[in-house]
Amino acid sequence: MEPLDKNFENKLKAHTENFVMYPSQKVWAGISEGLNLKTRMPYQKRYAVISLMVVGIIAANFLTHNSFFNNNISAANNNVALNNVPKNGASENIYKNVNTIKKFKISKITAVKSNNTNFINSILALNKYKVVVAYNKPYINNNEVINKVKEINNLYYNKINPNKINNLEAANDGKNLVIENNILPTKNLTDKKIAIIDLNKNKFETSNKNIVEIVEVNEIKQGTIANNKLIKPLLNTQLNNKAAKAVFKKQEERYKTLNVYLTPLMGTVSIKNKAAYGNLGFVEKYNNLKPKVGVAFGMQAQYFRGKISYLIGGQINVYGDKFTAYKSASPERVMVSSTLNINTYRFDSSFSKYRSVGAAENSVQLSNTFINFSVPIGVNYKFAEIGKRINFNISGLIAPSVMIYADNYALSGDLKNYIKAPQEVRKYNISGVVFTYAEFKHKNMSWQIGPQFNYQLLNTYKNNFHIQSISKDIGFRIGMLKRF
Amino acid sequence: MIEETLIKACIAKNASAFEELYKRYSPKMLAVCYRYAKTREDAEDMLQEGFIKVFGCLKQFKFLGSFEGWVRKIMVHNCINYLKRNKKFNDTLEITNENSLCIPEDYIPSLIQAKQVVACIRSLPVGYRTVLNLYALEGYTHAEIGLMLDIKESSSRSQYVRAKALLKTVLAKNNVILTVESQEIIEQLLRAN
Repeated sequence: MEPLDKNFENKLKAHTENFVMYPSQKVWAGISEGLNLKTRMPYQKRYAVISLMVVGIIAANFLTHNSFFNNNISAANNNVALNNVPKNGASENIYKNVNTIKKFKISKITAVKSNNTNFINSILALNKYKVVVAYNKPYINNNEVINKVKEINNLYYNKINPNKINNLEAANDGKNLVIENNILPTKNLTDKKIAIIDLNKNKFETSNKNIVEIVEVNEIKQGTIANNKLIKPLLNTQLNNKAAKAVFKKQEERYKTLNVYLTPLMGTVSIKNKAAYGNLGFVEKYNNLKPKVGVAFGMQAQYFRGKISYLIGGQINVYGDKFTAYKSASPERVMVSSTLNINTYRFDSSFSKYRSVGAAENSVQLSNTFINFSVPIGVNYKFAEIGKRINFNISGLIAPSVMIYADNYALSGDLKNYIKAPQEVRKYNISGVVFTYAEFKHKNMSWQIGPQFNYQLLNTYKNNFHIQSISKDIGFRIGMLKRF
Repeated sequence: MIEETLIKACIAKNASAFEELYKRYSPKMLAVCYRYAKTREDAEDMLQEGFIKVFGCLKQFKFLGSFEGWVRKIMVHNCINYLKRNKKFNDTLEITNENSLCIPEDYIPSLIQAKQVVACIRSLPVGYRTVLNLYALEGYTHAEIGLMLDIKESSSRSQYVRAKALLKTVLAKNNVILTVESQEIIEQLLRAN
């Protein structure tokens, strides 16, 4: 039958093929709106912006911690400093053995360790150090120096530090620090002696051992040698090589912390219907902000390098929302999802007895509950400090997450019903997190409190689901931090 | 702008490219939708929905065949689903009695023959015209139509036979002549029926 009629089909096709119609303006307006051509920032762009921010922070961190950018000193200052360098030929040889110079830190006191006496002499010539601790190789064996040490030790115990607190405590209290033999570190004591600078006499005295360690007190107690106003010009002139700069690059305070925190959250869930069906018209879009509450509990490791720190952690997030639905007498067939893939183009359907609109007497409360696990990774910046105990920070994090549990309802395709849709929830998601907090130090622990903002970057639901939902939260983070 | 460049610009989310592509294909595609739709408004809804789907899956187009054919395929699928969603298809699929058919006057325009033919097709019950559109104009087989419409292949075949017969009647009643040859065929077929 069919082959005989082929001419009919061909003619019919020929007559309809050239038929065209011109759509009204509202069609393109609807398409444009449906595609969000003008307003919507694609996910790729969001990722790019966030990535740029992270890269920017890391680059800023690198630049601010790189010695090359920290040692730009004016020529005028150089002359002043160089006048203080001893005229014993030391300046030419100061940094020959620069690779043997080692930097280390004693609590708040920055120190430089070296086996090059000329280098030490040059530093001491700056005449700003009140105490020098020396040990290692024999240098000067001078009874006068030893006597001076004893004299200052007596001063230390009798006047400066009558309570005989140890030297580090004295230093932290802003007092002159005097170190004596018997309070030096117990390791390798056999070859350690003390050198003392007498600021008033513009000279220093040392023990019978080579000077290898300088302990700064007061003037640069909380800074670094490289940033000291007097040392910088010297470095700029005499350390004009990479090795030397590397040695004198800014001494950062480096430490690790472990942080446990709890963050009660409240926020909104924006909902958009990507394509509506039925009598509501095509591409029925709306933004419905639903309140949500939740809590996040996590543990976070943090590595501090000066004011910047890097953090990674694990976090459990529990959140949900409640809403009113209207129970119908019997389950109704509703449209659920569509896929844009032409090869698997389909519409699914489901049944629901919960309507989105209805009579008050039929109202019921439904709830959505989600539990996910996330791994926040990010950067923290300490932007202000008040004394030693309080500081203020801001952190930016990216938090990939995996959905562990979802029990939720979503609006049907025609917006008329709520349908159970845990199977439509995206398993993996990612959020952007920004939080600021104040940190209070108390004994060995620190406490953190401050606001936190979360923005979910990917749709809560799978791509082929008709509902797009994005979660935005604000929380208040309370954390406890232990430094290692 | 050549078609390939235009498509690539759309993939790159270029808003003006979207509009250009839409302008290029919307007249033909609206005509396709119109053959399936009950009203022009429905046809425009189908078109709008179809184009969003087209733009949404442009990346899947491999530049191997005709782009227009690819767009048309999406449009046709979309029209079918639109009818399904609105239950218009299922509700009227079983209307088979052509004696009860009433063709409104405004369905028979006299402007051009193509428009007359389309109007006659659209005057058919939705079930008939859907099968007729898919088989005669889009070239789907009855097996494929059966899958698309969730009906048996034999049902598609019988619907088509009835649709064709009814269309011939409508064409004849409204003095719409496809061509001399086809008119002869129609007459032959009418006699045969």
